[in-house]
Amino acid sequence: MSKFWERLRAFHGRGKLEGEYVSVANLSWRKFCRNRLAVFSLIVLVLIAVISFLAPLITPYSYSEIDLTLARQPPSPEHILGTDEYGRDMLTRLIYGGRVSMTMALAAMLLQLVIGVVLGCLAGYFGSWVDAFIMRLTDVFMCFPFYIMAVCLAAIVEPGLKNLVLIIGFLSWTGICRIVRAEILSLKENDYILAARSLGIRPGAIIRRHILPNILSPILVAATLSIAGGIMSEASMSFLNLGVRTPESSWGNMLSAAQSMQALVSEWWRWVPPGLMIVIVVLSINYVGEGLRNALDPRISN
Amino acid sequence: MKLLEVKDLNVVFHTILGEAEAVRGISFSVDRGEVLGIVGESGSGKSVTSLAIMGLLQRKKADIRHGTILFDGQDLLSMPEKQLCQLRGSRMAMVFQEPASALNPVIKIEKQLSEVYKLHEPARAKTCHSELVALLKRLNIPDAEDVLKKYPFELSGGMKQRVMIAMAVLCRPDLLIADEPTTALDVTTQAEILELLRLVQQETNCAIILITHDLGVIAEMAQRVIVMYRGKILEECEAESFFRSARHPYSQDLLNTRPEYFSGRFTSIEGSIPSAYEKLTGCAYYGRCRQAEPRCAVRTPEQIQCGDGCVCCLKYETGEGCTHGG
Repeated sequence: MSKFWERLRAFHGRGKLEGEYVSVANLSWRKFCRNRLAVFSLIVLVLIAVISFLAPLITPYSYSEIDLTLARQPPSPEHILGTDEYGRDMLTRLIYGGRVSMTMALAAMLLQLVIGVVLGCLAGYFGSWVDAFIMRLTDVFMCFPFYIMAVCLAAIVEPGLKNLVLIIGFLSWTGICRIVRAEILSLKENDYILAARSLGIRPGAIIRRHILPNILSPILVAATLSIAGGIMSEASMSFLNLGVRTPESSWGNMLSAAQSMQALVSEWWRWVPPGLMIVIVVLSINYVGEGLRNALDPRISN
Repeated sequence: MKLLEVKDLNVVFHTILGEAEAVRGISFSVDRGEVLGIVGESGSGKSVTSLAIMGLLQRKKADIRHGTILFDGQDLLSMPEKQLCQLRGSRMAMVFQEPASALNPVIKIEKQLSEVYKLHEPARAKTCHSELVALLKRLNIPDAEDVLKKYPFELSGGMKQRVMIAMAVLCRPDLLIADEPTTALDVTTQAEILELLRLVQQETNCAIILITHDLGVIAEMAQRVIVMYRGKILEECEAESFFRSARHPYSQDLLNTRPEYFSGRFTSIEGSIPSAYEKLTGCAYYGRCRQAEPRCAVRTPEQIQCGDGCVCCLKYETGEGCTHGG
């Protein structure tokens, strides 16, 4: 195993003479690679992602075909993780579920990112009443408990894939918004922003071309961590039957389907794998986020 | 018509501690192609004046109470922001004190420079590479091609200041404001940067407002001098007569602090500049002035035409001592 790390390090140092200038991205990547837990998590994540997205090519069964003669079978060579109460192959549903969960989390993250970054930029750069208005708006969003709002919204609009993405996105942009605003508040006092203004560059261009590249790393970290949050929210909402609905599978609704005394006591293969997947993926994302944070922060050197 | 005319400019900052009057009714003008030096201690309002001219004061914090700033006949203070943006960078530009913090750390030099073209002369932006190289070479930057590909942190302070100057003069502005352009640099680099500013001035015939603490820089560069103190202009005159026969007691004291008069110990002006929050009656320099009279504490001196410039001191009220060399 230690040989692997050495090779990895050698690979990333390849072609660079000592003392030669190394780009920030390259440097951060090297720093990231020194964090074994983060690299391991990244590999796990990539593996899970690849398997999930190649689902139709990998799985021999259909995730939705019901065959009651096969219901509730324990793991066997044909059905490695057994079958559920309708006789559907659990492994197939697990893989398809990962696809749904991760796509949703990604989409929700993008939505949060767009809302959060735009509002955060406006608040941070323009200040005064714009700032006050946007910050009060985030306060309002933050003081409602997430699940109560999410359940209400899901009950009003129809529960489903697209709506769940919208709900998660619209309810959880506040964190990114605050991070962006705080970064800009300190950044805009810099002389180079004044210099940019003295050259006649308009506010929009200053934000896009001079401020955003400078705060890319905190945004990247926040975005990564918000994917983990998205997976958790999706699982919880689906568990409450307000998210992804059967026959479509997701880790959350697989857990929800196993919600009976019988399943909990004697059919472990119906709830352990999806639960474990959620734990593994969320943990991995958090470790990767942590690794990114350390790698991108110039004050931390390892 | 003068290139720049500042009339009775008054800038107040609203802070938690109260109102700070940074600039208290100053008037001056700059001709085309002229180098005007502004000297004064920290806190005398030099930088605020230059930021006010550029329209870069933060509108929430700084309040321009009254006054007008005419640039080529156009009133800058009533001009909409959009129009100001077109003026900045193309017709008036600024060189900052700290080259290290005035360049964006995450953008390569070439992109930062060409952005100015994109903004003001979009037609030239596509083909500007060779022009940029030529300009940097003109500003004594060796291997200009290489410098363009670098990030600011890979350059030395002097190089960065050269890049800043290049950025400011790219569109050949009529007015260049240099706010202590050499303060952050070491002595040999200072001389080179001043040389460059002079070169730029001769080649483009732009007017320069040179803000500095350094009387040596003034002697080197400026044709006319303004001495500021606590937001007021105490004296304005030709550079030559300033060094030969400064009239205001503050100017005289300033000149006495020059290291040329070193005699075992540097001379300094006793006391310090009054805080901007204080409401002043009488002369701002009263309290530190060695030639002060009782009336200086109660009567505020007006600007008096005196010789080739003007002075703001009760001593010259009668017109006495205003003749050349007096």
